Amino acid sequence: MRDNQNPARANNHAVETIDLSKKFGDFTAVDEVNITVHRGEIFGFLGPNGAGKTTTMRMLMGLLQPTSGSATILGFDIVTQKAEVHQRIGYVSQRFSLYNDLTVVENLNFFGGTYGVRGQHMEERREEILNMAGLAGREEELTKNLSGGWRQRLALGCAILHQPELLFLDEPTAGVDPISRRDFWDLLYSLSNQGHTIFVTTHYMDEAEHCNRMAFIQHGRLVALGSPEQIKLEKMQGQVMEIDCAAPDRAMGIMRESGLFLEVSLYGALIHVVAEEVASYKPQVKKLLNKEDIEVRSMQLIAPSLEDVFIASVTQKPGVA
Amino acid sequence: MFYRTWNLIKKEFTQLFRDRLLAPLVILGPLSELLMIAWSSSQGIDHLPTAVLDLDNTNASRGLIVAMENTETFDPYFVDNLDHVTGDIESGRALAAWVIPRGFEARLLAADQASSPVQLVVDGSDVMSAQTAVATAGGLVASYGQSVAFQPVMAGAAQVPLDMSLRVWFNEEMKESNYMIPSELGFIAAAIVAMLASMAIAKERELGTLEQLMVTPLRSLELVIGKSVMAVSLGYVLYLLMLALVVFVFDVPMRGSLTLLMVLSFLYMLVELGWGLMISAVAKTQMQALLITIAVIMVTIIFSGYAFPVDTMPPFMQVISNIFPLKHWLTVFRGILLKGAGIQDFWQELLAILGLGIIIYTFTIILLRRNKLE
Repeated sequence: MRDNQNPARANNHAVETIDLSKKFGDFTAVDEVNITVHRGEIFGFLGPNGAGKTTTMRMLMGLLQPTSGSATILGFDIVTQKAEVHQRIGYVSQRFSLYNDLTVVENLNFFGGTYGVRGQHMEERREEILNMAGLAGREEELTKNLSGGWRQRLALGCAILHQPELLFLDEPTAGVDPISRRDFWDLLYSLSNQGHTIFVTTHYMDEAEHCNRMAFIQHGRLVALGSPEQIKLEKMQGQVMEIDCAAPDRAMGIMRESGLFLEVSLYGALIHVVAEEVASYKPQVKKLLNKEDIEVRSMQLIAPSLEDVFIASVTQKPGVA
Repeated sequence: MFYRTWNLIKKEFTQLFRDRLLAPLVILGPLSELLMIAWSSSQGIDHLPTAVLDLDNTNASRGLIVAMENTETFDPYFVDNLDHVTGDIESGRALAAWVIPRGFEARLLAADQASSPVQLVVDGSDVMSAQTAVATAGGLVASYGQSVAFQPVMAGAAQVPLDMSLRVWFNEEMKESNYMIPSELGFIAAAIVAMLASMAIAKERELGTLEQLMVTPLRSLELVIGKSVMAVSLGYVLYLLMLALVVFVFDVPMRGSLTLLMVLSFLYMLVELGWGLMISAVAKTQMQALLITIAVIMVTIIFSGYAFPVDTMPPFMQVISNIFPLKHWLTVFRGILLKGAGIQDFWQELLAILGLGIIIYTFTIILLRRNKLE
């Protein structure tokens, strides 16, 4: 049935967009975005709120009509071949769109039936999913009584019952506790190992580091595209220095006012500053902070995290990147 | 695909019966409303003060007055001239009046006479009383005529010779009888269908599951059909239950063809379903869907002759009333139920319902296409 082996589509990418754009009146939500997602990879789609992540995803799934440009999913056109696309994708939305008044097993049965999974095959898949999601033994529980992490795994289960080639996840871990988040990502890895392509939006930077490749989007424009390492290399202007000091809130203000750095940001109780040859600013930093009676415990060069890159990218004016 | 639609229908019923609020509301609400209306309207109207002007003063006329009193709808008292009748009706002292003309008995007994007229005057401004008076008088005159016809004197007479000439004051064209109960029945099941359909789709939209469904192979048409099957089958079962209740418990006559009634009711429900689907295309939440449906129902009640006869409305409102399918349906429904009417009697109303159905569905399809998700 499944046509992974079909030579006509064998070389197609999981997702390919060409100048994909969406306007709402005068507002351009997505502006000529070109991305390619390879089969089998975990692709992260990042950007601040309102950057156009969800709009892009909704266009790719056929929920919104692009204003211009085009895109293919698994080789099928998103506008003219929706039925083919819908049969082959799974979708876990931000809100875990399950039926809260149905039980775990009723949700699975309904979505299975919707995708045409039935009979013996359905029973096998249901067992697999229940085991995978750790929901075995809770089949008859109402979905509304499940906690966030369980519900999210059930939503994932409902989306992969039909073994989709491509799985879309829209901020799937928003509002989920850290342990459930880790478990969830373990599930995503195992799905990826089974050959599913995964397209995930997130604003957790640590999650983005888990992706094979990713895209940054801002003001509807693509800012960066590549593996996390590539992006760090290409997009990070300058180096990052981590400052550990007392009164970090006040210290951050002082660093900003000094005008020495391209970027100053707070990571928990630590301050990250960005500049070319940033180590050469150590004496100045120490002097500035000591003048305000702030004790400096340590200063060291660190490898930029994706978050540094992300902040550097989004604080640049559009087009400067 | 049939399987996907069937799968959706199963889900709808699972959800419906699990809903602790909606299921009882949908089933018990209409039944209790019907019961309340039936009791209040069947018990409220009797012993109408009735002025009787007996100009004949014979055995036949006195017999009619006794029969009238026995119905318990009329409480007759005698007056001696026509001005008195007029005055009592106008002042509200009498809600109905009978005028039995001179020569009533003579004409009743004369074999060559086609019929013998009596006159009933009712106060049309009190619609409910007037309806009851007319309905009761109709039955009374028919049965009284028959009993006279069986007297030996009348042996061999082909026709029932008693005729009632009716004058309704302030409301010249009042025709229907047995008003409220059939109205309620004709209206409520359809309203339930519209409400269920509109809320079922709005619910998916409100909870975000609609978006989920739109990225599955489930087509919009399958979704609409699945929801409609749920709404219509539930509405229809309720309707049959209430019909049985009305006929067996409240003794509303069932004079026409039951099969015809059931088939036409089903078709009419499909038209009302169109309203529900149209509302579902615009409502974003269940609450919106419910409020819009109620608003539509309120307007429908006013214009359709559900509570007030269309004939008592100002002319321009009578024209507007034609765009409400319920108005035509009530004519059909009462026709079958009370008069034993067949298609030949109300084909115009059926055509009107059909035409309105086509218009409603055209708009519904346009709106559903345009407002799907964006």
